[in-house]
Amino acid sequence: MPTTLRAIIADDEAPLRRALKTQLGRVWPALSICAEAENGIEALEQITTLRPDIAFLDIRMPGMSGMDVAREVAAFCRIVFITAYDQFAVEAFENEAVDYLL
Amino acid sequence: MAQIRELADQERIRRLTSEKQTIQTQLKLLQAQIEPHFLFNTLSTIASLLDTDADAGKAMLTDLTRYLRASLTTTRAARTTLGTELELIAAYLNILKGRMGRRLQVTIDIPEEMKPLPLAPMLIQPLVENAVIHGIDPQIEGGAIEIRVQRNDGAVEIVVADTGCGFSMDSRNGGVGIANVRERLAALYGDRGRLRFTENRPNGVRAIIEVPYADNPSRDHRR
Repeated sequence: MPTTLRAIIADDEAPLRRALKTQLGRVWPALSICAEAENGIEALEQITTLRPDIAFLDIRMPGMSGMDVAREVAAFCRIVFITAYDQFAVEAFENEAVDYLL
Repeated sequence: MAQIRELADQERIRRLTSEKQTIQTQLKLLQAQIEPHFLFNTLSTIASLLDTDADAGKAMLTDLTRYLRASLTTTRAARTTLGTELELIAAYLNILKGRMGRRLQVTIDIPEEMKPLPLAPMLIQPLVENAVIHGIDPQIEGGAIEIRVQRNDGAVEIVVADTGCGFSMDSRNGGVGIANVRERLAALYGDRGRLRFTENRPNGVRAIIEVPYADNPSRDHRR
């Protein structure tokens, strides 16, 4: 029996959250999305409280950037950045990202 | 004597033609600097919507097409009208509303009789972009943008007011887009074209453009 991993999705644009959730459902049916956040502060609260295995973080979010959230939670949560800008990739890996999605 | 006068006139015409070409080239270059990331982000959102909500994706694609068509047509033209320019802004803000949802509220108010008034293209859009990106979007709760056009004696006043995070958070008054607007106003209208910023109460920024009422910009500049 495969272990179910839990993840959260944080992005300030609702259409992008929905799209990522749908795509993840297709390619990784065993992954459970336990919460969605629409800003950086909400994302940090959810990750701290729910302790998901993976956090999909948008980089540019109101309140707190995805990079800043990652610095706080990278010790206990794997980070995948979602961004339209590949220029952020290097900084993403410096913040212990395991991957990034364009 | 007549020959000397003719030569002097020819020289004057040559110099003025050269100056005009220089200004036109400068304006085209400044217009080309208008923020390109908007297109990139919007296409990304449309691609996502087509997967999950095809109708919303098609609607945003229609708005983007309308915006690009209006934008490209007006940037090629030396002049547009206030009405056409605000249609372009409405399409632009509609796209942003599709992306930001309830975090962005929009009001556009222009008296019907002012819509045909001439205006140089792409003067208002950088102010709107500035208000949303640097004023409203950084706030968790978002905010409102209000665009109002009114007559003030011999001038047209275009006010872009937002309820964003105000002057303290960034250089709202000093970005490249804003510098472009100031330079273009000066090139087109001389000292009769102005851009100023004031505080919006209770919060945010008011950007106010003033241009001469219904006059030809090039004529104004030479007065």
